[in-house]
Amino acid sequence: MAVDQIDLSVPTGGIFGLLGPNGAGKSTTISICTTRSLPTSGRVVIAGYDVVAKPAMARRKIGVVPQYNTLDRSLTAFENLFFHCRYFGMSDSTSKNRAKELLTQFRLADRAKAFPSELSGGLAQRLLVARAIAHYPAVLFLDEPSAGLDPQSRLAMWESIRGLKDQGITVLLTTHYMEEAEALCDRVAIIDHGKILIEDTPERLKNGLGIQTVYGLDVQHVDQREELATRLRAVSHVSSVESTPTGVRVYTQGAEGLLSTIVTEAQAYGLRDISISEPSLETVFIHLTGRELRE
Amino acid sequence: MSKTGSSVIATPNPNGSPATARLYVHAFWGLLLRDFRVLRRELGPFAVRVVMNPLLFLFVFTYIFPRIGQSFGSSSGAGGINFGTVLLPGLMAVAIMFTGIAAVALPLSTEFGITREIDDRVMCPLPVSGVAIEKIRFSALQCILSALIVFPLAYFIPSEPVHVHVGSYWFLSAVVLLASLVSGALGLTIGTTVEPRQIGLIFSVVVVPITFLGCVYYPWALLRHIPWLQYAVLLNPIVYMSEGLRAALTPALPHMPARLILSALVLSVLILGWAGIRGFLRRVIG
Repeated sequence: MAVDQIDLSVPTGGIFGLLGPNGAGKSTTISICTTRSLPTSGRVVIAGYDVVAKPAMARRKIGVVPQYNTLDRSLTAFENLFFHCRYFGMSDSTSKNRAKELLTQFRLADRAKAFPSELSGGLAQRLLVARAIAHYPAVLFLDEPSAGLDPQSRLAMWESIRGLKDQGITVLLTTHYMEEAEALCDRVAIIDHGKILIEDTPERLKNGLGIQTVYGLDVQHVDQREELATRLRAVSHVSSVESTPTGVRVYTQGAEGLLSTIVTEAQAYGLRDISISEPSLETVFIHLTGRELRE
Repeated sequence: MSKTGSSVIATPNPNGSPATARLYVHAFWGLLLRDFRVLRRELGPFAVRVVMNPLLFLFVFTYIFPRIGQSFGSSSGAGGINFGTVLLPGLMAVAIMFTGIAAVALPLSTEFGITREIDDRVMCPLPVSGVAIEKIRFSALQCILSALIVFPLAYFIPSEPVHVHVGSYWFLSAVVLLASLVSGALGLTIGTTVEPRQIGLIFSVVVVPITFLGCVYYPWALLRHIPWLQYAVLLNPIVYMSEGLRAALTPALPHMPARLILSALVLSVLILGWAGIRGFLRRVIG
């Protein structure tokens, strides 16, 4: 089972992030919401339409940007937008205007006559987003919107997504990039093994757990890590310590000078490496699942 | 009559829901327009694809052979009627079938498999089966076009006169239309069930045999000399396409009864259409 008992209510307006590692069930959730997979049980309602009972009607309210490039290879950039509008019942002239407007909005006007095979990854992704919102959906689903993009294109993509929010479109995106969720989302749900672990604003997620900084320590004497953990628990401002295969992980409620105390303690056990995670969704994820997001 | 009500619907972002039927018709029409645009762009290659096979076939068997003294086909036992007359309906049937497969099966297999570019069309406000039916309809249009292209070739190229007599244009139209729908449905079935890398194999294993054993180059009645084959080929929908065109265009040749042909074609459309739409749904909905 890819997804189990997900119960989410996404408020209108704003950007909602589904954050989780690969295989957590993010894409399955999106396929069900976008009428592409049938759930074995459960209900999804988008802008008032049940996606299982009335898929065709629900699709009018949904825009989808899948993980892969699904642009129509036989049509130009302009035609991809134009025919998408026609599928959604717009007239010939309305479709033409809408396609032109979107090409301008997404800075693709000079590539109107290009075929998808002639577009770079970043441009193709922008065109996919433009196409997905061409019929004025209420909700836009973005599945890993910046996967495979170079850093510059990723920033441009983020810019476009923020722009959509300003147009009043509710955006639901999946990502396994912490930075992306933090940079974009008004609310984030953390998903792992098909279950929602927690859901809140990024700020509250980071503060709510009382965690500020996480230190990951790799030591040579791994067999003695329990002893090290016990000693570290006694240090003030350390909220919890847990063992990892290569050492220990220390959750702290940050205080000046804590790093040197921890290092001093760990040196007796042959400190090999130290990683410091400042308060972020990454530390929230580590705290909730006991592992790192990209493991 | 509330004026505000209709103006809400007319805005690009309607809050009210327009009649579902209208929504479906618009989406279906949009899909057809898209396919026309693509076809228009590829009209040259389309014509070449349709013309080459019958052109060469006719040239060799009905133009060169009679001139170099090869009597292949002319004493075929078809009541002294020349091979060109036998070929005319047969080649039209082949053109219809190949076009259906080329128009649907080949593009679908990549659109589903490699590029997944069918996604946007599947996500339009139309039941998914509607998208599949549009595929069959559009391919049927191409099939009719290809039959119209082949007819003059098959009529004018043979060096001996081809005997065409159309008794009923209604029957001819019905046969061409049904044959084209069968072909589109067959294309959809193949396109949704076969992986892209196996599509070449399918041509050798399915398409070539059903053509050669589809009563294209000989009337079905003449198979009475090989009874097991005469009954075995009845499972092949191409047989009814060729026999149907034979009954409609060259009735002097022996052919199956019209009622049997039409029933078999309708049955083929239903069976292949059902299989194709089922395959399409299976590929689209997880």
